[in-house]
Amino acid sequence: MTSFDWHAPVTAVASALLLLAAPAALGQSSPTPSGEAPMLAERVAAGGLAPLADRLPESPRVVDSVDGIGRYGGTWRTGAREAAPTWPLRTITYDHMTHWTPDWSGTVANIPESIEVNEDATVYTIDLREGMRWSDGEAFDADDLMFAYEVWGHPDLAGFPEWMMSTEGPGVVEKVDAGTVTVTFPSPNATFMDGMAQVTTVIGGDAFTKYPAHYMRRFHEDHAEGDLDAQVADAGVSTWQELFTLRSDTLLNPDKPTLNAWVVTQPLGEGSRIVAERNPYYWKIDSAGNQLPYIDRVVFEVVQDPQVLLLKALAGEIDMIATLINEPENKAVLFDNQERGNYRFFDMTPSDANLLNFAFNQMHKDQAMRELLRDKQFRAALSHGIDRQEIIDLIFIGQAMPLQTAVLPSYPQLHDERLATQYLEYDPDLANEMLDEAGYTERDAEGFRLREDGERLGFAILTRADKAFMADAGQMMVEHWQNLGVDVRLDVVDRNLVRSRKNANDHDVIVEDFPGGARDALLRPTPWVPMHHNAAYGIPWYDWHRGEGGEEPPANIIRQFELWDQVNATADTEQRLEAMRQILENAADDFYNIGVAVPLSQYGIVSNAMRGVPETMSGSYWFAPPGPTNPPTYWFAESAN
Amino acid sequence: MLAYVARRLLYMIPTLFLISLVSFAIVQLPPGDFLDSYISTLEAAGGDVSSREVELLRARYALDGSVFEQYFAWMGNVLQGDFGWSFMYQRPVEDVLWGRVGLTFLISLASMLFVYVVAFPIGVYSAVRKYSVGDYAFTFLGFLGLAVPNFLLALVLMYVSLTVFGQSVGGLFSPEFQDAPWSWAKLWDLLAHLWIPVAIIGTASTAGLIRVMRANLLDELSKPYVETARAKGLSERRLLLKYPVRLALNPFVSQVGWELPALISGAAITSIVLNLPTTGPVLLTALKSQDMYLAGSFILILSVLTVIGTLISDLLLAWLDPRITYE
Repeated sequence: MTSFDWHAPVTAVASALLLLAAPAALGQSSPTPSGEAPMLAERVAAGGLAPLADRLPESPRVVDSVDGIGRYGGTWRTGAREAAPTWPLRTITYDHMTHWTPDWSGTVANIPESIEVNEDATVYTIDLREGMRWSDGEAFDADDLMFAYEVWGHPDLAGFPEWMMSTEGPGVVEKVDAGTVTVTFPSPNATFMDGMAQVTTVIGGDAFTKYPAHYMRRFHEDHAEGDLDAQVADAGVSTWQELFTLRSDTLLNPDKPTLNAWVVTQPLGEGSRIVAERNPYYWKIDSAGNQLPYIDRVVFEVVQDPQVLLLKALAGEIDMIATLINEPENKAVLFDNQERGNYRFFDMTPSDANLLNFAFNQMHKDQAMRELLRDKQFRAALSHGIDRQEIIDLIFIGQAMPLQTAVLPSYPQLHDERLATQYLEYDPDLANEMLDEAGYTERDAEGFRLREDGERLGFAILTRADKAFMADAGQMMVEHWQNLGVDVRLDVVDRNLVRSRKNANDHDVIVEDFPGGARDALLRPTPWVPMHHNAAYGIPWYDWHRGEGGEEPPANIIRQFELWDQVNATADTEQRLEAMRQILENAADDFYNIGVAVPLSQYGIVSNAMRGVPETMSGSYWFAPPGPTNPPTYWFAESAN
Repeated sequence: MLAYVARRLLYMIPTLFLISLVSFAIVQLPPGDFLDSYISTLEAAGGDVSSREVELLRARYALDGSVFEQYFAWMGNVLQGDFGWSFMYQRPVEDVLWGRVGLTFLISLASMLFVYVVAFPIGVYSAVRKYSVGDYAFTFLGFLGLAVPNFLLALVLMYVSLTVFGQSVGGLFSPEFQDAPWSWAKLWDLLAHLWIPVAIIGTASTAGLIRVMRANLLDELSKPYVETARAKGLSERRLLLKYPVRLALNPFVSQVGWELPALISGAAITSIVLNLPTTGPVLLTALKSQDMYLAGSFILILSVLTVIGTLISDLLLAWLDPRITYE
């Protein structure tokens, strides 16, 4: 602790440069690359590596740590799971064409110097950084993007990423010159930039730069020189497509060059760790001109059971993690051991629009049920009849807050107070009064209210068995609602059965949890616009909208679809937000979904020696934390390991 | 004898065929397929997959065919040495399995030896000194090992090693040796970690073997030939080891048939808790997520080993005990 080991050439001169360079970074000229990691400087001195200036592009991307200029060195020890390893994708390989801004207000160009878009979001012009290189030193240019485009279009390979699809088909990628590429869509596609900032495990935001042409060509049927069949046989796969998929996987193949800050040296599946070391050709610098990343090496302990990671964290063997072990039930034990493990907490703002969203089927096949579920007064009364605090205390051990299904107050750009808080307070008297007012005054011998046709007033809640908290909370709500004289039943079934009954429109009310509480509202506004197959309140509307039968929706829903098209038809952020705000305002009138609660906060842990990790970041899956907060700018304040 | 072996080998073919067919079908028996469990894994993490991506994946993995079509396509490849593609791990099944077989074998072999070394003498001792204090003490310990669930023992040992010794937990190597080339220091490090899984897995099976050994030996000890040998003045030690113990070994030998697959499958639960890079957890997750080619291949390999193991134990038994003949 006492002797700060400044073996990195981050000198007073560099710090002084920072003061001069910081404003300049905002303008045109970027700081001159001047610092590099000692391990790289040694290789340069030994003649095994080109000097810094030759390795960086002419205009490197400049990003700074939230804790000032860092120092080089150290190993970031963390963990991962073997199947669907999203944490490595969110940390070491989060270098896509675009990045979310750290506050999730929008996107910025990351790999290219700039991405220009025309007014109606149909033509995107991508301007690459001149002189940029892959981690093996080969040039990265427009041909690499063109090769990726060819790969997507190949009938036997992965297919087009979601963000390359407009409503009228995939975009067309054209090379203008070695450093410029245009993407032209047949119809507006405003999700292009957002899509590339995301991490998905299938065809991800990295699809443009996942296939370095000079390397991947040899595994492609149309380009391979030499015997591709022999390579297929050697790899133990049966087709060249499988070989191609295998070789293009960044975590599995340490030979594939990348643009990431750390390059995998020990791949997933070989031993019980993934190890990634700094990329000597990484194209980002801090505002003092030091090449990033600061940290030399990232090591993921690959585990089957997260309990192992938890024990390692308690023993101080984890430097930063916000996955697998950051469950509410672990918070107490992590809190108690902060001192021994030498770590602190940071906040991950949740973005669930709701943990328990009750979607009332507006298109029920039975006419009488449809009328009942469409009665807004009825739904409002039910909402007042829920003792949300009781559910929060018992099911979520107090770690939640009562709210309707809405964008959260923590994302003020889209927060609609009426949508979030209407009919929220627990008031059984008011609820009963409202039900009486709605005309359900008759009751049968058991005290249940009757519909106009003399049938019992009631419905069935459908929920999936694999999320226990939904069934538990559902059971409590059945009780709350039966107290109002409404005969509610809970069906807990396998998740696949929920899906098939939902798709067939054979349900009354379905419980689900939904994202969409922050910026992800612009990606999946499912509870408010029936644009996704999870919109259980209007499946026939969803089918109609995608042109697969269904039923024409009423005017208010058509209006929602029009607004949603507007959101996607312009690249102007303010216009998109404005259209989205209207959607949310209309949704408050519709009130098709009753929400119960949203989580209060989530957390990650970070070593006391580590700097550059913000105190707060979004915890949404769609934000891919901590990627947008720039892990290459994290650093260690002392020689901890 | 050769004819016997040939006949047995021939019988294996239909047996294995049926086992693989049934196990492949059972893996697929739950509603839905790999994609459904994949989607719900994603949804559990807050993400989702669009309908288009689902269709793309379904087409890529050829999940639309019937179970039989999938089975025969897979079997055709297996016969050519290609076990297929693991959806969950996104790479060939061989890559997933072979990388883990070595350590699994090591751990299982070590615990098997541990079990034999512990159970065998104790079994003999408690038979010869029936109802002595030692007999009760060992039996008690053995049953305790049998009764305590492996995962609990694993968790307790891990917790103790963390809180009392401050030692890194999980895995088979300390961090500094993870990627180091093999050396004496690394071997020593391995042994320092290996005793935990070996002891945990071992304690569970010693009780059974102790009891088997004890019961068999007791049967033999009361037989007239023992009396005769004793009457002829054979030393007690030689008498014991040469005749009754040898006969009491039969159940040990016939068990070899089951030990062979156990060597590969490892102890799944213990491995998961201790984070050992063995094959057991792979089978479990493959079954849970309906990763059909991975699970199918694994079960096929285990079946082959079981069938071969049974043959070996039959041959060994015949060699050991002249009373058994080839029929």
